[in-house]
Amino acid sequence: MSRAAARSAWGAWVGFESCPGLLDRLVEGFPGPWTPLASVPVPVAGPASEPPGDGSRAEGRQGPGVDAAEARGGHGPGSEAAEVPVFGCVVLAARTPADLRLAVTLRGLVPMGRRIRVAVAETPPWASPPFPVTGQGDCWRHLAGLTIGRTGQGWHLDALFDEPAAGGDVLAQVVHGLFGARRHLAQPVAGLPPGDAAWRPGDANATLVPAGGPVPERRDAPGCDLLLAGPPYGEADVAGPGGFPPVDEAVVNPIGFRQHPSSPVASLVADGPGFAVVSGGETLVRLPPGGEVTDVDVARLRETRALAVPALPGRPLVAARLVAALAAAGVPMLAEPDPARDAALGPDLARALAAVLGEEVQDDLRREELSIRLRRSALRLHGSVPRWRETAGAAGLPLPAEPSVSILLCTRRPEMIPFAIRQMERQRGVRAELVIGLHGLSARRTAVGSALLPVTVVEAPAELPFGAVLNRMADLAGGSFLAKVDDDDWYGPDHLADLLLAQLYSGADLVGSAAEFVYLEPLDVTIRRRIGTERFAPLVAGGTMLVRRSAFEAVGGFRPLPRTVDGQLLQAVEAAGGRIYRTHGFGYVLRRRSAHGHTWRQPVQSFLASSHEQWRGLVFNELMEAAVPHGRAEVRTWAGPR
Amino acid sequence: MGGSPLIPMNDYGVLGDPPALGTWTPRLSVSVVIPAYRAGATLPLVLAALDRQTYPAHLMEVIVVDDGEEPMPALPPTAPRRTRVIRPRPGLWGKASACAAGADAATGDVVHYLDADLVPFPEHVEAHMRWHHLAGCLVVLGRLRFVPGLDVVPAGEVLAAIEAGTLGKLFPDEDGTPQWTEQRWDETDDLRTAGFRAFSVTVGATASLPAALLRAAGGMDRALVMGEDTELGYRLAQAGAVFVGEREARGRHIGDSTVMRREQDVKRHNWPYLAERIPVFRWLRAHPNRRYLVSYVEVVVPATDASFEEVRATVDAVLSGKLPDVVVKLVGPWSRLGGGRRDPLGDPALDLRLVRACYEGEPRVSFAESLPEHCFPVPFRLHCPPGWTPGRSTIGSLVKFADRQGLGVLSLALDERERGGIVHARLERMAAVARARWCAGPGDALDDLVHAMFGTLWDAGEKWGLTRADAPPPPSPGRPWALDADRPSSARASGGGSPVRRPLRRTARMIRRRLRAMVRPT
Repeated sequence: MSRAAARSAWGAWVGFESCPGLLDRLVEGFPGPWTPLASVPVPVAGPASEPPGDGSRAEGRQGPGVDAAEARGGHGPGSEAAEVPVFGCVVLAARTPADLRLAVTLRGLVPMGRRIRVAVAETPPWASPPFPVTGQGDCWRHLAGLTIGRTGQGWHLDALFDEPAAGGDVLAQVVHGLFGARRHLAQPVAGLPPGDAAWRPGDANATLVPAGGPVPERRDAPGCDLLLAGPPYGEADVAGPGGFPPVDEAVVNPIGFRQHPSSPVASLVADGPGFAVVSGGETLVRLPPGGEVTDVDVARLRETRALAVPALPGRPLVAARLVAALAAAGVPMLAEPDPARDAALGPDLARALAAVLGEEVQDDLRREELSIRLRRSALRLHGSVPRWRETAGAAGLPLPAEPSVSILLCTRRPEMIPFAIRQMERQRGVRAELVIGLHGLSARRTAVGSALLPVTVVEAPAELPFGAVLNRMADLAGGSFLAKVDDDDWYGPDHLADLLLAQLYSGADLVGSAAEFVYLEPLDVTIRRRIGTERFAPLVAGGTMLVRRSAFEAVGGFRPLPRTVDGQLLQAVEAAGGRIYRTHGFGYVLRRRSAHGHTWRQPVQSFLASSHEQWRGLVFNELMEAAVPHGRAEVRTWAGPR
Repeated sequence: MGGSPLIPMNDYGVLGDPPALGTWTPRLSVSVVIPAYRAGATLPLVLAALDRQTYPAHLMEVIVVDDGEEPMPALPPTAPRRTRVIRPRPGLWGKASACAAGADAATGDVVHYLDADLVPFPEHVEAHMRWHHLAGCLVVLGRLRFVPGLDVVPAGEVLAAIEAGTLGKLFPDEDGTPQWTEQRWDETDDLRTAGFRAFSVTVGATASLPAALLRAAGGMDRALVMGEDTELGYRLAQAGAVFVGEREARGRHIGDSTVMRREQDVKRHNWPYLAERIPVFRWLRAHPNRRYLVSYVEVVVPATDASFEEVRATVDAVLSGKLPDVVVKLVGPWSRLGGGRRDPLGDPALDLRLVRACYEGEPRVSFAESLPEHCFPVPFRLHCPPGWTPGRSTIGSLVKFADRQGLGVLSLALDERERGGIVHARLERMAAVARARWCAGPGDALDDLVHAMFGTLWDAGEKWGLTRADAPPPPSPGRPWALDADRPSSARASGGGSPVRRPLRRTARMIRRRLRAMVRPT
C-alpha cells in the first residue's frame, strides 16, 4: 500500500439532496468542494473475490444490473495495490443521524486524513452526542486532539491526528457512540454498490463493489455472501411486499412517541418533486422525492395527532417507503386506500393502516393502540434486520437463529402457576422457553407442565433469597435474552415480542414496559398512570424486564436479596454503563393485591395519586386481547373516562 | 320502581323519543291540581280547556283547591266530569298550602300542578303523561306563553277559541312572551345537558310528577308563600328526580306573572327563604360563618371503636373548615352511657362519654345510634374515619370536584389495613344514591348503579389534604428557615447544623422577633 502525497482537503456529504444550501454554512473553514459520498469511486485493492455460487442475487430486485456472474469475471486495473488517498483534512457532513448510518455502510469510500471532521446538521432530541466509541481500530492511537461541539441543532466533531487516520473507522466509531455498538446483523456479509447503501443502513461490515467491477476480496475469504444488485429502486413493478429499501430501525423507530400530542391532524402533500407535511399553513417537514424519512423528520412530527396520507398513483414504492417508515416510527396515519402501495406494504401492515380512523385518533388511548399496531407490523416486515433475513433466506443462505428468550417465572404460590403458564403460552412471535422457579415449593406436588413451551423447573428452598433463586434459574436458561415475569400480573400476547422489538430498535441492554395500567385489587379499579414511555429511562416495571444475557452476566445477575431485586438489577446495569429502555405499557397490567402483612408494597394511595384515567373493575386495553382473567375480578368493558 | 332505566345525570335522552301524540295507549291516572286564588275569571277557561284534553277522561281527575277568602261559587258548566273543589283546612292559606292540600286529596298515579290562569292546549296533559309511562322518576315541565289579559282579549273570545280548537290562532306562539326558563331549555337541549342544575327551572305553572316521587320528596313545603316550586324542585332532585322539558305540552298564561311585573321584589322576597333551604345555591350563602336550615355537607364519623382524641381531631378539623354549613353526625352506642354511679376514670365507655361531653354545646354536632340511610335533603354526605383530618378547604374542594366531574361517589384511599381492607373516606352525592335506590332491582349493587349514572372515582386522600391526625403538617414550600427554627435545639446543641444555614436561622429569629414586636407593642 503506498500513499500519495497529502492533498489539502476532501469533503463529502450524505442526505443534503433536498437542501444543498445548508452545506455551505455547516462546516466552518471548509469552502468545498463537496461531493456526494455515494458517488465517490470505490477504491480498488487486491484481486477480486469469487462470490459464492448461484442465487446470491437479492430476491425481489429483477432486471439487469451488476450480476454475480459478471462481478466474478473482471480483474480491474490497479487491483494489485490500491492507492489510499491521504488528505490534510477529511470532512464528512450528514444532515441527520440517519444519514450518518448510511455513511457507515459507505465508510470504505472515506479517505485517510490528519484531521477528520464529522458534522451532523440536526439531531432528534433523544439522540446522544456523537462521542466515538473506540473499537479494535488503531486510528485513535495517534489522536492529538478531539473537539465535540454543538452547532445549532446539530453536532460537530473535529479530530486531529499525528499520523493520518482512516476516516471510515472514525466515522463508524462515532456512529457506534450514537447508537450503541454490537447491535447490527452483520452476517451474512452483503456486497453492494455505493448507490445501494440504503438497503443495508449502518452495516459497517458490508463490502462495497465498484460499478461494473468485481467484488473486492477479503483476507482469506470471499468478499461477500450475497451481492445486492438491481435496477435503481422505484422503477420496478410492485411484486409483493418489499421492493423498496428497508426502514433503518436504529433511527426510524418509536423512540420519542408522544402519548398526548398537542397538534391536530397534519397532511402529507406534494411539494415540488418531493413531499411536505403541512399543518395549518405551516410546513413541518420536507421529504425528498424518493420518500426517505429520517429520525429528524420523525421528531418534528411527534406533536402531531395523526398524518393524513393521500394515495400516490404511479409511485407505489415511494408511497410504501414513506408509509412504512412513518408506521415504524408509530406516527398514526389516516391513509387513503392505494392498492399498489398496500401490495408493497404487505397485507399485515395494510390492515393495520386501514384500521386507523379519523375519530379514533382523537382519543389518546385509542391512538396509541393503533400506533403500536402500526409499529409492530412495519418494524417486523420492513425493518432492515428482518428484511436482511428475508433476503438472505430467500437466496438460500443459512441464517443465524432468531434470538431466543428464556422466561424466568419464580413463584411461592402454586395456585398462580397455571394462570402464569397460560399467559406465557399465549406469547406470539418469539422463540421462548420457560424456567419456573418453585420457591419453597416441591415440584412433585405442583403442576408445572406446558404443552406449548419447553419447561425447566428449579426447586429452591424457601430460605434462599429471591434474587439467588432467580440467578439459579438464569443459570439453567439457554436463551440469549432473559425475561422476568411475575406470577400474578397480566400480559398481552405480544408482550415478549414487543420487548424484543424495543431491544432491537433501542439497542438497550435492558428493556421493559412501564407499569402504566394497574389493577388495584382492594378497590376493584383499573387505573392508568402518567408515565413517560418510549424513552431511555432508569426504571421499568419489574415484571417486564428483558435483559441481554451478556449484560446480565456482566453485572453478576440479581442481587441475592429477598426483595427489591428488580430495582437492584436496574441500578447495576446502569452502573455498569448499560442502557435501559422503557417501551409502551399496553401489553402489561400490574396487579396490586391487598397487602399481605409482611411484604411492603407501594401504597394504594400513591398509585391513585399518579393515575390520570380510571375504570371500575378489571379493564384491559385492546392490545391485551381479552387477557386471561383470574380470580374474583370481573372483566368489564371500557366505558370511557368520565 | 325496580329495573327502571338508568338515566345519567339529567340526560333523559337515553329513554329515546316518547311516543308520538295520539299514537299510544295510556295506563296511568293523573290528578290535575289547580290552586285557585281570585281566579274567578280565568278558572272557567282552564276547566273548559281541560274538558277538551286528548288524555282519556276516565284516567283524569281535576282537583280545584279553592284558596280564596270566601268559598268560590259553583263550578262553571264546562268542566271535566271528575272535577272536585276542596278547601284547605282552616287557617292554612297560600299557594304552597293549596298545592299540598290538592296533592293530599289526589288519587292519581301522577300529580299535575296547573295554574288557575294557564289555559292548556288539548294535548297538554297527554304530552306530560307520555313521559311518566317511560320512567318513574321524571318531573315534566310544560311550555307556556304569556298572553294579554282578559281586559284586552275578552273571556268569551278565549272560550270560543278553546271550544273551536283555535287557541293557537288566537294567541300565536310568536306573539306570546316565553317564560324565563325557556332560555335555559334552549341552552341545555331541553334540560338533557343541564346536569345537577336542572331542578332550578322547576316552575309550578304546569309541572307533573309521580305521586310516589312527590311523597318521597316530602311534598310541597307549606311554610313557603312564594318560591315554593323551586324549593320543591331542589328536594325532588335530592330524591333522585330527572327533569324533562316538554315543548309539546303547550299552554297560554292569561296575563303577566308576578315575576314579570316585579322581578326585583320577588327576588328580594324569595332569596332569604331559598338561602335557608337550598344549599346548592352557593351565591345565596356568602356569609363565612353561620348556620342554615339545610346544611351543605353532613360529615359522618363512626365513634364506636375510636379513641376520644381521634374523634375529636376529626370533628375539630371538620368544624374549622372553610365551609360554614357543614354538620357532623357522630355514630355510636350513646344510649349505653347511663347516668348511674361509675368510676370516673375507669369507666369502660370513657372515650364515648368524653366525645359526647366534648360537643354538648356545639349545635353542628349531633349524635346517632345508627347511621340513617340518608340525610335528606342535605345534598352531600362525607364518611370520614376517626383519626383522619380534612384540611380547611378539603371538603369544599371535594364537593367542587365532584360537581365538575359529575361524580356520584368520590372515595379517598387513606391507608391499608394489615389484614386487608382500605381505610377510606367517601363523599356521596345523595341525589345519586337516591336515584340508584329508585332504579335498583333486586340484587343490584347501589354503587354499580351510581357508577353507571353519575360515575364513581377513587383518589388518594393525601392529594386532597385528608391526613392522619398525628401527621406533621406538610412543610411550607420555599421557607425552610421557618421549619428549621421551630425544631428543638438538639442540632444546635450538638453543633450539627450546617454552617451555611446558621446565619439564616439567626436572620429568621430576628425577623420573627421584629414582626412580633410590630403586632404586640409592649
